Order: sequence, then structure tokens, then C-alpha cells
Amino acid sequence: MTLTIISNANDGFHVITLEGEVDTKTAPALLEALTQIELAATNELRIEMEAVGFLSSAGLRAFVFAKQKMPHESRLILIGASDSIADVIRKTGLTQAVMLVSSQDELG
Amino acid sequence: MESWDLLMNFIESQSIQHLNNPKQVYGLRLAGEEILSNMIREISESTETLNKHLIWISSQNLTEESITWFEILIEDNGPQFDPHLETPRDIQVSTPINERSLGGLGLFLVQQSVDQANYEWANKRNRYRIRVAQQCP
Repeated sequence: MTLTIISNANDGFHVITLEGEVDTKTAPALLEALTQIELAATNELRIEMEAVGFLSSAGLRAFVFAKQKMPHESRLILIGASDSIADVIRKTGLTQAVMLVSSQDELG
Repeated sequence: MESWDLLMNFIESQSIQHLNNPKQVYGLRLAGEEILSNMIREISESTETLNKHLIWISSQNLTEESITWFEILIEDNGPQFDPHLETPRDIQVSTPINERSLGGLGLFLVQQSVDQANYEWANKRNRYRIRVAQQCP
């Protein structure tokens, strides 16, 4: 179970691209990548999930951690999450913390 | 954590072999991951001395009351810990995110991801069974 993380700052938003699986073993690396971002000054954080095959509660906690550090009116957006992952996020009520979109096109 | 991949690969490969439903395969992987994660956390937080933490994992098909189940059994020799898997968990779904505690999220996902999940303490082992009802092709 591996996870590749690419983090890029853009004009007005930050993007993290994930590939692999986010579980107990790999979530600490995601958390580390998130702490490297100046979250308190990030109004929009996009996480590309098209290449993520699995997400456990460890990954959910990392996303919530990030959102809690971001400004109140900020957006944390998961792009291209699989049906299984999106289902987990909805069941756990975390759609109030993260926004789910199918693709970058929905963001304009 | 050195055997983590071995344990997770077992759950995934056995589930794929016995189930033709990708949702069920994912559910078992998720439930298994959360149980194993809890086991490891219990050991790291325990004050009991343990020479070696051992985990056993197996799978089987079985029929009970006319339902055919695929089951993953996960056991360890850690301190006794009953997570009360039969008790519905309140994970504060409606609470604003900044006020929510995320405790219990993993065990909530165990309950949500499989058709049956239960725990017992037997032969000095924590024993977790997670099951999905096999569907006819």
C-alpha cells in the first residue's frame, strides 16, 4: 500500500495530487504534506483523487485536520473521488467539511 | 506495521477471490483496515507488557440460517478490548466540523461497511468477525 503525493501552489488555490491508497500506513505522509502548506492562509485546497483506490478513517482525519486549520469560509475540494470513497465521506457526514466534485471542469 | 501490507493484501485477495461484488470487497477491506488499525493503537497505548504482538487472520465461507456468508476473522493476543460493535455509534454527523470529535469514526465505518461485525474474547484472544452475505451471481 503506497501513496504518492504531489503538492503545488497555484494562483488562488493549492493542489495536492494523490496516487495510491490512503490508509493507516500512508496517512501520516499525507498529514505531513498538509502541514507543509500554510493552511491558515489557504482559501481553497483541491485534492485530486482520481488515482486513489482506497481511503480509510485515517485519511478522513487528515482532511478534517486540514479543513479545521483553514479559514472559516475556505473550501476543501476532493476531485474525482471514487463512488466507494464518496460514499464513505457522505456516510460520515464529512460533506460539511469537504466538497465532492467529479472533475476540475465543475470548478470553472 | 511491518506486516501491514501482508495483512491487508490477504483481506483484499481473499475477498476478490470469493466475492463478485466490488462494493463488498471494498467494505471488507475498509472494515479490516479499521480493526487492524485499532488493534495496533490499543497495543501502543497499553501499559501491559507483551513479548510479541501476534495477529491471526483467516477467511471462510459458511452458511447459517440459509444465508451464505463470506467471513474474515481477525484475532490478536493484545489486551482484552471490546469495541461494542453491536452498539450503534453516534459520530455527531450534524455537529459543525470545528466542534466535532472524530473518535469512533473507524469503528463506525466497520459497522457501516459490512453486513455483520462482532467481537468476542476467546482463548485469551480478541476475536473480530466481519461478514458479508454472498450474493448469487
